[in-house]
Amino acid sequence: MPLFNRAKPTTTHLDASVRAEGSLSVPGDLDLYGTIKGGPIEAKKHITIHARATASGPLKSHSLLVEPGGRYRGKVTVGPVPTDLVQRFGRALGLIK
Amino acid sequence: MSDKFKVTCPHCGNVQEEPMGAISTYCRSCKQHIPIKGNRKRKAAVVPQNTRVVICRECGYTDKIVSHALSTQCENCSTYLDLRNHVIQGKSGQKLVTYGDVTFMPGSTYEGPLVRASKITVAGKVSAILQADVELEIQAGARISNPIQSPLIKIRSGAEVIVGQINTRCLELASKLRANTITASEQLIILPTGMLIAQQIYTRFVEVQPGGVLVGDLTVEPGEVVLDTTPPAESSESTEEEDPKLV
Ligand SMILES: [Zn+2]
Repeated sequence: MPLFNRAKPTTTHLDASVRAEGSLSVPGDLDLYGTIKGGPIEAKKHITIHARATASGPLKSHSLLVEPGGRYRGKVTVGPVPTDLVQRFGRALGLIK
Repeated sequence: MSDKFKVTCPHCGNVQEEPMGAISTYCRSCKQHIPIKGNRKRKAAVVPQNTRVVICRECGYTDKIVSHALSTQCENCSTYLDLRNHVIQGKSGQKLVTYGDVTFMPGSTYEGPLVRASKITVAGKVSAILQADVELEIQAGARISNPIQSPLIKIRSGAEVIVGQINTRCLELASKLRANTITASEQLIILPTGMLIAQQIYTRFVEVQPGGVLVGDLTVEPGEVVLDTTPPAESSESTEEEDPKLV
C-alpha cells in the first residue's frame, strides 16, 4: 500500500444528489451516496457504497463495503491482489487490457 | 415438573404421594404393603429431555425430537429420518445422508456423490457435493473441490477451496477460495486473510476487510436474491486446470 506522508488521507464524499458518468479516482477513501456509472472507480484506500447509492463499472480499492440497499455491478479488484495472479489471470479478470 | 406421584392404596383406598422411581411402599393409613407397577416407565416419561428441531426434507414439516434419538419418522409424511451423527476418519466412501451432523476429521479422505447433513464440518479432503441444512464449516487443512450449499458457510484460514458453485445466505471467508459462481443471498464477508476469485458473484451486502482480496464480476442488488435450494449438480466446468493452487 502506498504511504501518504503521515498526513491523513482525505475522504471524498459524493452525496445523494450526485449523478455522474465516467471515471473517478481518489487518493484516500470514497464515500458514495449518489450515482456513478461507467467507471473506472478507484480509491487508494476504502470505498463505501451506501444504502440507495448506485455504482457501476470497474472498481479498484484496498477495501470495500457495499451496504444493504446499495447497488453495484462490474468487475472488482479489491485488496492486495498477488502479482502472479494478475499475470496469470489479468486479461480474463480485466486487470490487463 | 413434580418429582412425586400419587398412589392409591389397593387395601383401604388411601391416597398418598410417593417419589418417582419408587417400586413399592407401605400405606400410611393401613400400614399394608403396596407394590407399584410400571413406575420405571413413568419415571422415564417425565424426565425432562433436550430436544432439537428437525425439518423434514420431503414435506417441510417441523418437529421436535429428543436430541439423542438416532432416528424418527416424519409425523406428517411418514418418511424415515436418520438422525445419526457421523465422524469420518481415514479413507471413506460411505453414504452420508442424515439429519445429524457430519465431521470430516483432519487427514481424512472422502469420495462420494453427495453429503447431506444438518451441520457439516470439514478438516480433511472431501470430493463430494456438500449440502448442510444449517451450517458448513471448512477448517484449516481442508480441501474441497465440489459444489457446496448451506445457509451459512464459514471458510476458516488455511483451507483450500476450488469449486464450481456456491449457494449460501452468508459466506464468511478467511482463506483462499476460487469458484465459478457464488450466490450469497444475504452477505459476503472477506476477512483480512481471505481471498476470493470468482467469475460471477451475486450478493446483497459485501464487505472486504483490509488485507482481504476480492476479484471478479460482482453484482450487489438490494432485492431478494433467491437462494437455490435444489441440490447442486456436479459442475462440468473444471476450474482446476486454470488454477489448481492460488499462491
Ligand atoms: Zn415429512
